[in-house]
Formats: sequence, structure tokens, C-alpha cells
Amino acid sequence: MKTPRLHPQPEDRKEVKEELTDRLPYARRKFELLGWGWRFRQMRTKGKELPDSRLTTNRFTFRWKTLHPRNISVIYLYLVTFALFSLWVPETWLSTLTHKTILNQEAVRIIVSLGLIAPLAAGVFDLSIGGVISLSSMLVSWLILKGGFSIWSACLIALGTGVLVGALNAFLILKIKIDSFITTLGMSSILYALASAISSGKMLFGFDKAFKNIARFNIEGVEANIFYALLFGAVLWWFLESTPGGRYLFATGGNREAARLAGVSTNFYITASLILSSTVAALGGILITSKISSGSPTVGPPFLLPAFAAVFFGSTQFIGRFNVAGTFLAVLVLSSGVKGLQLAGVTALWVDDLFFGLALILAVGFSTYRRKVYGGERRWWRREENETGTILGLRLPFGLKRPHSKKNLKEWWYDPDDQQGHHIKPE
Amino acid sequence: MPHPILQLAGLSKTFPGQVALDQVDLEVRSQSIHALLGHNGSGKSTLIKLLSGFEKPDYGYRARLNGDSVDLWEDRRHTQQHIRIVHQDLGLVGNLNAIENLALGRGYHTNALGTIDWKQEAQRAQDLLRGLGILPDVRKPVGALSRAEQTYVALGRALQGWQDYRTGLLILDEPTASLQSAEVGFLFRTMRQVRDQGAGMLYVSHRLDEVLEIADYVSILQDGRKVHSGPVAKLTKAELVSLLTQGQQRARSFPKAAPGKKVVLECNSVYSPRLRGVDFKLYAGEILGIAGLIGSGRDEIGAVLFGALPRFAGRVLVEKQKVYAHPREAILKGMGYVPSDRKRLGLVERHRVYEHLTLPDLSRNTNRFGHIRRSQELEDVEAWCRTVDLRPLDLFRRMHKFSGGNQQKAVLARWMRLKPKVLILDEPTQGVDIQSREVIYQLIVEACQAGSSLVICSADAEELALLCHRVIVLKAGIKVADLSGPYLTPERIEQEASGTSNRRRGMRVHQHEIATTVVR
Repeated sequence: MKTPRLHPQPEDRKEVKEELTDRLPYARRKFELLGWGWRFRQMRTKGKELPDSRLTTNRFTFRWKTLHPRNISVIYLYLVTFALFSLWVPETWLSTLTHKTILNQEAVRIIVSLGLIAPLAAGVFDLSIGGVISLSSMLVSWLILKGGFSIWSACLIALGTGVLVGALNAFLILKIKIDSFITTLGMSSILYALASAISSGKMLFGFDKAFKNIARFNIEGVEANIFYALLFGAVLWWFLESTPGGRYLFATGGNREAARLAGVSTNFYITASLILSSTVAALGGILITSKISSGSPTVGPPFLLPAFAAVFFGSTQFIGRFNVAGTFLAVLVLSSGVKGLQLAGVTALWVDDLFFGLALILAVGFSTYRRKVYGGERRWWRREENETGTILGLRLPFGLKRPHSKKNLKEWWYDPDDQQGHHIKPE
Repeated sequence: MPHPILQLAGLSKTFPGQVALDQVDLEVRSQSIHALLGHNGSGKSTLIKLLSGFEKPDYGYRARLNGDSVDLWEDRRHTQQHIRIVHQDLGLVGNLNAIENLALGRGYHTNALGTIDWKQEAQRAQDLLRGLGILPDVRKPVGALSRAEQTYVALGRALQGWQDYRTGLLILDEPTASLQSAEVGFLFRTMRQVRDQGAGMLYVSHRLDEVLEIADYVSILQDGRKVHSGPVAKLTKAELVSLLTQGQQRARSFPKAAPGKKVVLECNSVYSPRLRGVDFKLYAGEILGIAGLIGSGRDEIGAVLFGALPRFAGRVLVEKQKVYAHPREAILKGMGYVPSDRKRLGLVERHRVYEHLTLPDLSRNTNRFGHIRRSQELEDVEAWCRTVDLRPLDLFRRMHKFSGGNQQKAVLARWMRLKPKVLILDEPTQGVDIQSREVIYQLIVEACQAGSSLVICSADAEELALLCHRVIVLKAGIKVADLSGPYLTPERIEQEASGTSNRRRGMRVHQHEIATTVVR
């Protein structure tokens, strides 16, 4: 179908430009009334075509708003942390070794967290990752040390177990229709029991060098794990942001029924995301076993909550939904904070958890707290509707008068019933 | 002596981008039933929401309750004592029993220890319902009761705890929508009883016969304004219909090409929870309307055709190919569906415009490695947004920030982009402002000219008469009329949909044995 031409097209710019000149007196008034901020904006846009919402479909334009702490609080948090510990414990904090250690320690946590993005984006919880990590760790060490399997076959079996667990989760959630939270919680417990049964309460030691090298192979002290994390992160980022699959995943999580009506096979994407997360968790189990060169059923559970914390923290960053970069940085920044505290001599065991919990609540709270306002925002600092503030004859960049002052009684926007600072513009 | 219970003057409500209610005056007297009529989107439900204190009216109205000036928002605790509402969906909790539902608003009677005295509660509930004239099992979950019994439980809940009926206003929002005719008669008897005890009633309905039968006064809302108010006694049905349709400013018709001979969509005896064997054919380039009252299957047929709801039996063929009951399958076979519940089914609220628009078909914007070509996608989306005149034209704006009309335009654009063979629209102008409505009509006609055939399910007879080549009327899940040419008028559609007599002759439907397995 040829797109019918009903409404303004780019050729019609001329008319609109004429229309814009009508606004000049108002702009002029603003120029007079308001200080340098407005004057700068005028200077910046003077010779150029003025933006008009009907003609510019807003593409990637830089806005100062994106630098608001609400959008990139990880970065500010990291800057603060860095500055703090540079002053507090400069000799240890400012050495590269510290930061390499942080990377090496957190790599597996990053991988597991990244894997968790998929089911959360698809709108289901996967709490079974802790159990999967324990199980795959035990399985791989038992198969290699007791079962006499080769490294590759043992790893494949462990990964296969991850796939199986994900598929089983998906079956229970989609076909038996148990809530995902409950399903995966139960599954986590079952897997942990299995791992304990395999180990019969003992840790397994004595891996050969080849297996240890999977995770410990390093370039200049940076271990292989972090490269795996980077690689996986890059692929996942590409998948989520620029393939149809990623779009379908987010659509499923946004509104499953609406996505289904738009032709998305929601069940497939939920299944795939669950399988992905548990397979990645199984991979994490293998890597952590290789890194600490011992298999133990207790390695998994400590991964669970930090992973969720990182993913939710990350979801408030950059683009306002679950994303790879946010999660990646969230893990690193949070663990940097913990590490710094440890270096500074705060070695209590609960510091880790406390720090993660506080940072999560603060970051998520900060980004979601916004008042709901009808008809645009009108706050006391918007001067179009209040008088400009002046002190000693100098104009301030914000207003001082409150919109509820009785002086505004005759203004068109004044609404005495309005307690919340919003208003509805009359026709 | 009847006195005014509720008096409203200049009541308005503005939503972002839409004036839902515009300077409405209303007076409801005691001992009278006041009917409130109007098409969808005329502001009836907004008025009810304002009266119930669910939304805040715009500044600058006056309201009096039993002579005292009240603020509907600030004094809502007080007005709720006098204004009681039976909502259209009744507002009962299905898995609680009648006793618990009745206690929801007022709390339980407890003994000294704070335990609920169930025996006494049951007695009270039974007495209350017996007073209304029925005796259901008050210990059964309300969901298991019949629809009529549920209506009575809701009515009982609204009526309980009134000190004086003469100071109370009872609002009934389409209480007869899914009742059988005998039950309707019974309900009317109860309503008259309540009226004779002195209460004023505001009765919202689509059914003109019922209004003529029971109401004393009638007010008609149109696009948020009150266009008529007066006693019913001397009105005939024809006069009422003309009052309802007068002053509609969309009298101009749209140019429509004659439909072709080729059958595009065939629907063979389709059964679903509401539909009981519907057959029809849709021809190439045709706009087919489906009319009917609430509960007639009109609100379900679109979703059933598209496969969004399961069907029990019957076949749907697009160009002689069988379409299995699944949305994905339907899209692949060339169908599109604009659901009526936009917020829940039509769009993902957090999606940005471009994500929303390209969701059903991303293949044309991806390269062979499955990478979305972003700039091409944005150009594509921009062209479509211009076509439907989306305002503001910001491709990165989230869907929930648009007004209802613009959301609907975006939903239409999404499906028109696919160039479907059959496009099914469920209530395309529900919750849409007047300007956007014009644009949507125009888009519908353009989609038809571009080669799609359309099915429009709507409760608005005016709209159907304006847009469609042909209109099918459903009643109780069965096709009762197929109107086209000179017979295609709003009056005729409404007559056929509501039945010409208030006895509702011809409503008796053969109770078929319906298979309950889902047929794919």
C-alpha cells in the first residue's frame, strides 16, 4: 500500500516555520524575563531550524537528562567509591593488583547475573540458579575425580543438566502453570539436595592442571573468566538490543497476552530464557569449581541474591530496562565497594550483604521515585507560571513564589483544589 | 412529595488530551427512576466514577446532595453513604460467599472476643436478600451463583445500611446486560419496590425498551455533553432513538468502493462460550460490521476469529485456507486484530513507539544475520506514524504516555503496516476523543481501499452505519440479521440488536450440546 498522505510531510516545513514566528513575542518575553540559561539556549538554536514536535521525529539526540544520577547512578557511585578509598587507603586501593583481583573474583558472578537477565526480561523469575551452580559444581568434580570422565565430557554433562533443569522449569511454569517464583524456589531446593547427595557432605579436591586452567588461565594477571564474561556480555547485548529475539523477549515480559496477540510465541521465549539462565548457571558452576579447584555443594546459594540485586540495579541504568552493561557495572561497582571496605579493615562478614542490599534499594528507589503528574509537570521552579526569583536584584535560576500563593488567584492555571502541584490546562 | 436528591451543575472532567465530561447538569429526584442514555464514550462511566468519588472532577462545579452543598471529591466518605452503586461487573469477589461479599464494605458484626458471629451474619444476609425477593445459598461462593443471583447480592450490598431511603441515590450500571427476560422483569419489580420506598435511582442502560418500561425521567449524554433531559411518559421509542442520534456531527459518509465477489474470510458455524454457531462470509474490499448488545457474543467474536480466545467448534477460512485458533497462525494467514481492551491486550505499555509498531513483523527490517537495521526501521515507523498522524510524533516515547486516541492510532498503524487480508477491529473508537475518531474512521476506509477487508465489532450503531457495507447483528450468540443497502441505518441496527418488543420474543435459543474441548 502506498502510504496515504494525510498529514504534514517534511515538505511542509515552510508553513510551520511561519507558524513559529507567531510565537516570537512569547519567546521574546521569555528572553527578557529569564536569565542566562534561556539566553544560551537562544544562542544555540538561533540560526538553526527550531525543533518542532510535529516535524522532528526525535532520533538519537544527546540530552543532559541522560547524565542525571537517576539514569547512570552506577557511574557516580563508582566515582564516589573510588575517591573515598583513594583517600582512605591510598597505598592498597591505588594498585592495579587490587582491581585485577576484583575482576577475577567477580567474573563468575557477572556471568551468572548476565544469564539471569533473560528470564527476568521475559517476565519470569529463575531462583533455581543457585541450585544449578551447586549441582553442576558437584557433578563436574564427581565425574572427573570419581567417575573417570574426561574434562570435556564432564563439562558437557554438567551443561546438559543445566539445559534439562531449564526445560523442566519451563514445563512446570507453562504447562502445569505453577507460578515461576514457586517453581524455581522448589527446584532450587531439590537441586541443592541432589548436590549434597552426590557429595555426601564432603568437598572434592585434586583436579589436574588442565581443568584448573579453564578458569585460571590468565593474561597479565587477568584471568580467563573475565574474558568469558566479556564475550558472553557482548553476545547477549547484541541479542537483546538488536535482534528480533530480544524484542520478543522484552515484549513477553512487558505484557505476555499482548505479545501473544502480536504473534510472538511467548512460550518459546520463556522456555528459551529459562534454559539459557540455567545453562549459564551450570557454566558458572564449572568455572567456579575450576577457579577454587574444589567441588562443593555450598558454592551456589551465595550467588543467588547478589545476582538478582545486580540485575535489578542494572535495570535502572542507561536505558531503563534490564540490560547487560548496567548489570555488568553493577556487579563490579558493588563488589569494588565491598573490597574497599575490606582493605580499609572493615572485615565483618555481613558487610558484603549490607552493602549490596543498601545499594540496591537506594538505586532502584532513586530511579523509580517520580511523582505522577497530569498535564505536564508544573513545579515551583518552573518560572513560566511563577515569578522569577530575585535576590538583591539578581535573577535566580529558579522561582521563589509558590504556585499556591493567593497572588496567583487570577491566573488561568491557578487551581485552589490542587494540592499536588499539578494542573489541567483548560481548553 | 418527591424532592431532589442529587443536583449537579457544570460538572466536568478532563483527561489529558480529552474532555470526558463537559458542563453536565443533572437532577435526580426521590421516588423516581432516572435513566441515563448515551453511546460508548459519551461520558456515562466517567459520570459514575465522579459520583462514586473514584475520580476527581474539574474545578468549578456545584453539587448538592439532599439540598446540602457537597464536594464530590473531598466529601466522598460522606456522599458514599448516600450514593450507592451497582457496577456493571457487579464488583463482587467471586471466591467469597454472599455473607463475606455483603460485609466487604461495612465490616463484620463481632462478639466480645472479636470473632465473627457467623450465624448472625448468615441470618442478616438471608433476611436482606429475602427482602429483595430471592433466597440464594449465602454460604456458596458468589462465583458459583447464577448471574441473576449475583446481581441481587450486589444490589443487596448497595442497599444495606441505608437509614432513610428517601435520602439515598442508587446507581445501576447496565444491570440487565446478561439477564434473561424473566429475570429482568423480576429485577424491575424489585427496582420499583425500592423506588416506592423513596429512593432515587440512576439507571444506565443501552436498551431503550427497558428505559421506556421502567424509567420516569431520561437524560441523554453525547460526547460528554448532556443533550436532553425530561420525563419519559410521553416519549415513544422512535423519538428516543432520534434524540439519541440527533446532533451527531458525523453525518457525512465516507466514500466506499463496492466490495468484490471473492470471499476472503469464511466463518463456518463457530462456537465459543458465547457464540452458538455463527456463519458469515466476508468479501474482498468489504467493511463488515458486527453489532449486538453486551453479552450477545459481539464482544467475543473478534477474538475468537483471530484465535485469541479458544473456539469449541467451527472453522475459520482465509481465502479457503483453514486458520487454526492461534494468533500467530492467524497473522501468518493474513489476519490482523485490534482488541478492544487496549491497555491489557493491544499494546505493551512500556514499549516505545518504534518497538510497538514493528513487533508483529520485524523480518522486513532485519538483515540476513538477524540484526535489526535500526535506521531503516525508524524510517519505516516514521512513515507510518505520519500516515496515522500520531501526536506527538516522537518515536521514542513510551506508549502509556500517549492519549487514548493516539494509542489507538499507533495500534492501527501496527496492523496496517502488515497489509493484512482481513483486519478485525474490536471497538475501534472506545475511549477515543472526537478528533482522533475522525482520523481513525479515515484510516479504516483507507485500509479498505488499500486492499484489506475489515470486520468491525462495535456497540456504536451510528459508527457501523457510517462505515460499513454490511452489518451482521448478533443476539445471544446467534446471527439474527444481515443488513445492507437501505436497511443499514442506526435505528434498524439498534432495533435488531435489542429486539423490537420488551418481552424479547425470539430470544429463546436452542440449548445445543456444546463440546467443551478446544478445537484447533
